[in-house]
Amino acid sequence: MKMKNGRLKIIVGFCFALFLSARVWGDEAVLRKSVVKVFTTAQNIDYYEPWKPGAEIQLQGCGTVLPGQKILTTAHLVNKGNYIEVQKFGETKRYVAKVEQVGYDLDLALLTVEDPDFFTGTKPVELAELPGPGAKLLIQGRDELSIKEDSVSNMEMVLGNEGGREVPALLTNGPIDGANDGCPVFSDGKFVGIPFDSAGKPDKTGSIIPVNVIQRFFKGIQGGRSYDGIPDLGFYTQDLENPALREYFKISLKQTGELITQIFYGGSADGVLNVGDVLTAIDGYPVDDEGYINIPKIGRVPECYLATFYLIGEKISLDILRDGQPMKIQMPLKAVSQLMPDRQDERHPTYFVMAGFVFVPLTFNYYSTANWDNFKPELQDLLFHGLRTPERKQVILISHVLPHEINKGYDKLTNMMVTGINGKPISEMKDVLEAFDHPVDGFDVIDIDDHDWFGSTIVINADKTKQATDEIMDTFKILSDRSRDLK
Amino acid sequence: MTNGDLMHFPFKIFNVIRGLGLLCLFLAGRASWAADDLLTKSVVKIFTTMQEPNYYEPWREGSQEYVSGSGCVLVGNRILTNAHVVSNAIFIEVEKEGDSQKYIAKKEFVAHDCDLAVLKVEDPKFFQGTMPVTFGDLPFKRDKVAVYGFPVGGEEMSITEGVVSRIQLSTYAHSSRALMDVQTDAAINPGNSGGPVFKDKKMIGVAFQGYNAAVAQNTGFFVPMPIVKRFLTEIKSGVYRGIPTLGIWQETMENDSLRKYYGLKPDQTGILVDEVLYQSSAWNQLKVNDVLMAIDGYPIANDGTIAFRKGERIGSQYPIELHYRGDQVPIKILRDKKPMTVTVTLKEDARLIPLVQYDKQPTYFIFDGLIFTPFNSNYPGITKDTPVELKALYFHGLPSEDHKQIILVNHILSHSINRGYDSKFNSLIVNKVNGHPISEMKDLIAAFADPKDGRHVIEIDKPKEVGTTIVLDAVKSKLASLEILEQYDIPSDRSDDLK
Repeated sequence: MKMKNGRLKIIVGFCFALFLSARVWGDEAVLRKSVVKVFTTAQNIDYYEPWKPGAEIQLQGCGTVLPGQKILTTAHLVNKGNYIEVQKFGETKRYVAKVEQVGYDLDLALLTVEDPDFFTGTKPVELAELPGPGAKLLIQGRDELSIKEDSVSNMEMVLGNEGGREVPALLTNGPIDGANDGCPVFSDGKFVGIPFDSAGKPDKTGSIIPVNVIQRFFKGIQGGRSYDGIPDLGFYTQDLENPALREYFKISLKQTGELITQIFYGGSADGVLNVGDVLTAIDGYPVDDEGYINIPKIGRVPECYLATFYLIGEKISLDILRDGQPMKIQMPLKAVSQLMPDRQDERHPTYFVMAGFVFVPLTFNYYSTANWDNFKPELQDLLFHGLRTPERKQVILISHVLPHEINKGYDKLTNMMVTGINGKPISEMKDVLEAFDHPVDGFDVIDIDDHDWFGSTIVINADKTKQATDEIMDTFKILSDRSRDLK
Repeated sequence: MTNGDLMHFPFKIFNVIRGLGLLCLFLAGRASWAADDLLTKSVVKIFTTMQEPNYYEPWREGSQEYVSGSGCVLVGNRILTNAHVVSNAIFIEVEKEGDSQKYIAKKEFVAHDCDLAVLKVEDPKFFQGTMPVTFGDLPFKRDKVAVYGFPVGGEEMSITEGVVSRIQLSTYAHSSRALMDVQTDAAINPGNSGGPVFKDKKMIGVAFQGYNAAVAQNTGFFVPMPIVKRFLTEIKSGVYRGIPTLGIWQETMENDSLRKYYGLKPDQTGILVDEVLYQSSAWNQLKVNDVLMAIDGYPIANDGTIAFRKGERIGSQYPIELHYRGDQVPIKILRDKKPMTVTVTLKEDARLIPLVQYDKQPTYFIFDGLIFTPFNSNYPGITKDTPVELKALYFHGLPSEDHKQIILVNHILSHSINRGYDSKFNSLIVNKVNGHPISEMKDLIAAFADPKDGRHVIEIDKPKEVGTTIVLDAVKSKLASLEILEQYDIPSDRSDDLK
């Protein structure tokens, strides 16, 4: 008797399980019509020798079919792609795709497929409302049958791995494997976002580029407009928790807000706000003493959250206290203005070779592929905390030196910051080219900021630089002494 | 190879005990001829109990450590060893070969810069049967040398032999100063530190450091006689003041165009001055863009070396390092393409971030729970977590009138008066307090005595994401400071040197 009873339970249990999975499979089969595979043949960029095409790599991920025969995927999957193909789930034929728009900061890209046959049998996704905390999620993996369930935790600003800046992300309660594949996430059969890998998110959670951010990307490319990035408020603030601090800055105990402590040169707040102003509300949402705002249905998010959803050039409304007096300000938004630029188009990195010295701007791209150990702490400090000034809009480096008789004694220099050439200050890459046109008494004099082991002055014979550069280009097989953007 | 790979070699006793099981097998065949070797009568073993300072909570004592090293007997009943064998020592004992009794020793002179120390022993009985060393000179490459001492491997004296591999200026791990040292392939291991190196029965140096075996093998280093003799000569004056530096940052001039640009003729050589350090020996004497052509009579080559013996070259700092503070040294320079000679009076090493300190209570000042400390090489130390801004200052910071030191908010002891300023403010650099610029610790104390409108206002050096200003209620400040000292069991709000 006992045995029989036990077997019965197992059979009942089995039936139940079968029933459940059949139901889920049914939903997924429909959803899978909205997902396609993306194959990219990409070329790594060699930032050390930017004139060289890098090694080829093969990447694979997913795309999501949108209404209007477009495919949405992540930027990092296609931005280096020389050749992209797409394939429907369950089919073997591949179709050639092209990149139409890329948003590096949001890690999103839009693809088109020339052959309209490709879309036969596919089903464009329906965009969901932003799901709230606890909402169930279905996460599609790179392979047809790889599906995972999870749920929404909260909205957070996290550091995107592509753009190098903070973006709004929906955090999940569990980690997401293969978060870089560009596969879609659904809730209630509707599209809610694309997972991405983020350095800033808490451990054991996953992060998703949510549907409202994706809609912001669409807004940025509406009417054939070319995507130009998310704007930045352009200031640093300080929390106002200490009573003595509040009194010093004339803020009543009832009033909440954040103290403006630094305005970025060339940024949105430059010429609009003052250091010492107190930001009390943004877009009508009161700013609390820790710099957060509370948005219905989204929750408590940092004050910079809202700016993400604006286009560059649009105005955001700010309430401030200036010398204790309340003011309302409409601030036009500008692009990010920190010293280290966000990730850029990767195809043709900027460089200039002169007498074997390789000049490059310090960018997020360059830094993320270079060896950390080669970066002196001064450069790291500039990377992480450096602000633009009129005198320094970019950091220009001598990345290394291609040895030749003309640069004898200097050939071991790497990652040296250039501060001046021939007596002219160097603020951006074009200054380098201009300065070399005006040698001093037959010499080219380069001032560098290095006290590690070399020194601070490089002098070369200006009469011989042209011939030497030609010889160096020949020896090292360099086709052009400068990148396309400098021609 | 970085400084981090260089190890100096006092030997932790803890390791001996652990190592015994493995190593006693090899001791059975110990040779007895050592007893006939008179040199062994010059070598002693040193046992030290150290107490490391606590740089995070400077009012507390750090943890204790037990190390052993070696030493040699000097004329006048003294013992010579390495500074690092007796640094931060609270108790020192010495033992001679063949005598099981330990005698109490005391530090007489310690030179942290060149890693040397002289000890005295109260009980004259200790020196019975010992023999002071006789001094030799700087050896040549491939000279045969023997290292005597008490390294890891056993309890008895160890003798290893090898040849001199090279002579150069390199970093002394104990002080981070670049001084002359001699490399040998004779095994130098933990516990050898402070022991003598002999050539032809004369002492030619003091064994002191080597590389981690993962980096390089058969590379031991000893402090050579020019440095040892300089130390012993200076302490005859009764006080050790340290090895001076010129106080410049320099650039080699190997490129022809560089030399031509600064006016050197084809037969002239030298190095370029890139920076003159505030209040160093060269301050107000040398200028940026001067070319140093000869120092103390030694012509300087374009690669920054001088010939110190026939066919042997060494860094141009070497002649300065054999001088004493206050000595005057002639330097031949080319300034604006005109040759001239300047005389420099030598001073102590000038730098923004002091080198590692020993035998000294850390400097601190606590105000309303904010712990202020000068940034030095002990604290916060340089680890991978050190903020890049501080790392940059550590490696390349220049002292100035405005910043003789870097004063940090070390960390904050929470109390209602400092509410809202939490760990985000740790390790930030203080620029001004109550409107007064903060160049060194004493400025800080004076500035806090002068609150404005009932408030203390602390300004942070550079704009940071966390903020720029700390404001504290000056009316409540006195009471809060007392409460904090009691609450956190802190005996004094400041270190002894600030009292």
